[in-house]
Amino acid sequence: MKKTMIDYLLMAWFWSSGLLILVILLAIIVYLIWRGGAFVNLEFILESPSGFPLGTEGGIFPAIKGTLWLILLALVLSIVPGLMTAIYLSEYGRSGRLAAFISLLVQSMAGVPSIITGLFVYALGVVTLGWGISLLAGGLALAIMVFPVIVVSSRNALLAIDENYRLVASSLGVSKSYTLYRIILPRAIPGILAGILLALGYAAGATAPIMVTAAAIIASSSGALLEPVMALPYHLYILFTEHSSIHHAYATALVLVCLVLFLNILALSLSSLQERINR
Amino acid sequence: MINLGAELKEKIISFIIIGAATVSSLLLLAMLIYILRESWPIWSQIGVSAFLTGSTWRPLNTPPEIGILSMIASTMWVAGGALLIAAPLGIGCAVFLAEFAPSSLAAVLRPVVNMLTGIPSVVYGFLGAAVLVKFFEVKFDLASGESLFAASLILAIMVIPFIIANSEAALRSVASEYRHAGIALGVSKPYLTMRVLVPLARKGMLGALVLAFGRAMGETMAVLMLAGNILRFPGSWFDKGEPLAALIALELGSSIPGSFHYQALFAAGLVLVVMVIAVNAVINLLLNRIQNEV
Amino acid sequence: MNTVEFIDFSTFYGQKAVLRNINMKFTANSITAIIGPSGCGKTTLLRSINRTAELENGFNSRGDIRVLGQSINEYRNVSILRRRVGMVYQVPVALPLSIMENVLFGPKYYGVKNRSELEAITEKCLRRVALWDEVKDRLKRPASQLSGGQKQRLAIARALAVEPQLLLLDEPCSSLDPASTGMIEDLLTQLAEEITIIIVTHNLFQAKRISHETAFILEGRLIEKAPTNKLFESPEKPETQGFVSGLFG
Repeated sequence: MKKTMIDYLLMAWFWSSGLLILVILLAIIVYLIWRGGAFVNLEFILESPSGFPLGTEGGIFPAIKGTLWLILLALVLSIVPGLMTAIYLSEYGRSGRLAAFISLLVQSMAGVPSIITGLFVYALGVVTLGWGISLLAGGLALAIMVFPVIVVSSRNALLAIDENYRLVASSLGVSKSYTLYRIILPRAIPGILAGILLALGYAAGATAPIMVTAAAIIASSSGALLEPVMALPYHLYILFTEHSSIHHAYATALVLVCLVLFLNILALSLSSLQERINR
Repeated sequence: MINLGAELKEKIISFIIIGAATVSSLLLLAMLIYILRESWPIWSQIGVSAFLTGSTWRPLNTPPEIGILSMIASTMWVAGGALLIAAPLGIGCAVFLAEFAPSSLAAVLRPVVNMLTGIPSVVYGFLGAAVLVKFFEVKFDLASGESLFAASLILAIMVIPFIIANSEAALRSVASEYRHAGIALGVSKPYLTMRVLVPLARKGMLGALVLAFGRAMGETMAVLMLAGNILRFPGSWFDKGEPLAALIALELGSSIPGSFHYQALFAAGLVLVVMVIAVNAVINLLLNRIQNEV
Repeated sequence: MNTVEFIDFSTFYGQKAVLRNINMKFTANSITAIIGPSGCGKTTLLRSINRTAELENGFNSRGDIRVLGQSINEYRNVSILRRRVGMVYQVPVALPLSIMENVLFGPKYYGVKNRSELEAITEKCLRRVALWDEVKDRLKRPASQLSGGQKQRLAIARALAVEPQLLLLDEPCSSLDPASTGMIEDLLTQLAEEITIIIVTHNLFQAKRISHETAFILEGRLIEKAPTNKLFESPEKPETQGFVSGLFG
């Protein structure tokens, strides 16, 4: 088979694209470690920011706490609606107009820019309900943001469970909810957990929604619902735009990326576990 | 003997589940309606076309001048530019992963793509600002390296992993018979890929590109740190600008709730949402046409 | 008494007709085999009896089926119907539970809680399918560890645990080896003394071996139903003759 010039050009395109992507990620990780690694130590993680401008010295402990509070709250607020919607789409409403409508709404939600979610919660929570800039508002904004992620991943996890189980159960006269409770849900747990972890990683890195609803430059992040919180992504943004400390900025970025990657890798291994179970 | 209780219990449970699903999904509609309501005075008093086509944004003037044309233009420049850069790279890499990569390399590359999707946008923005912008300033001797182009570049890197993932899935779902037939005919693999496999996967690929475009339009942090945040109409890709998302993020906190400024920001938000939904809807309609033709 | 009676029963998937005007009776405590070429509607026939056919999109039906004296549409709760009619599928399915929990899945749902009663049910059902001696020491182990033939016998035990009066089997032995097939055929013959059995099979020898009556379905219609020996040796319809002599299907 004669290779023409075009073949070589095409192959060059494909190979260089693939290698470039690889290089980009490696560059990002390496650069972050190189510029920030030296500054990530125990004090950095456990202390509060200090110095003038704020953040030049000290650490990021309240930001870490704040991020953890935010994603916890986002999880608590979104998991029940998210799971129930997923259960509906996979067990009760496989076809039919309501299911198609709900599916469309959920997918559209996934496309809504996160700043808009922040805008909405700002108007509803911060202003109208009088919460002010608060952990609660931020958690709500993040919950709305990750709701579609949880629905889609849970639904896929449920649908991947062998259909024969449902057939056998219904031929015995057993109800759908009992089948869900004893067979389907337990078996789909790794897949559902994987989706939840991905959602948490997404929430941990989100800046725009919390910027307008929850984040403050300095706060104690004690977990009080109506108090503002610090958060890692917002802290990074402030450190850079205020030109406080480029070193701490890199260090913060590194910590944030490590947190998110950790959650993603955990999710990935749970996904593989689920696939092995399903075989 | 089954009691009535079991049947009733099942009915209640399904009612709760259906109810929860419906209410949660209606959240989207609630959001849109709320934003529409908050921005209503803008629509009724200024009007849609004046708002969309006015290129001056001085909401605190008396009388306030609010037109978001510059922001819309910036949004389109930044997102369109990102797609211009990301599409060839993303599709190329997807083809590479699906058809040409040796399996050991693919086994490394796929998790890499996966990880790239997980990196928060603020980190991309930060790296872009700290590294890329500095680079432009030094290399081209600029006072400030921020521009719509810089933002497009970083946005491209952000959306490429999504394009890769969806496009690769689309390619993989093309039936292997086509590949076998191509090999049997003695056609070279690149030729087969470009002339047969990619066209067969084009629906999924176009969908991926559209989603990427929508995401680039709505992205906030990267553009905040890279686009320059100038409220002027951008003349070219290399000008500074302020996309809609950046506008909202920057000015929302300082606006007075209930004021004209506040309502204008909501109107801008509504425009952004409508733009994203419109892009998705239009392309999905076109895609259905393609599907029907095949 | 007729355990099952089809009265002018037809089914459709969307616009496409699958079963056409089936009129058929199944007598109690017997084994009836249903034979016919692929796609003729045998599975739909079976699944219509316990109303699992309607779980598919686009399914609708006309006419009636009376099971144990009552129309299937008159059952206030379809669970009650499905409990009286057991079903075993072509693919041996072990629920992702232990062997014992598989058998007890139905009884536990229906409220049996007493531990000794549960153990008694487990032993009784597993003995009836000749599985007890093979698994009695590993009842708590996952059922997925069983072989195909064992899983299928477990499936029958699971169906028997809710005490059905009718057992439907859809090509239950098609993925099993001859030894397992023989075991299942023996236990079906024994069960028929207490339960009405309807078995769809593509194995004409199997039909000859175990069934008392055989029904031949072609393109959704009942062509002929007769005592097995008569159907195979001197069928009345030419289509039946053609099928059983291997001309088509």
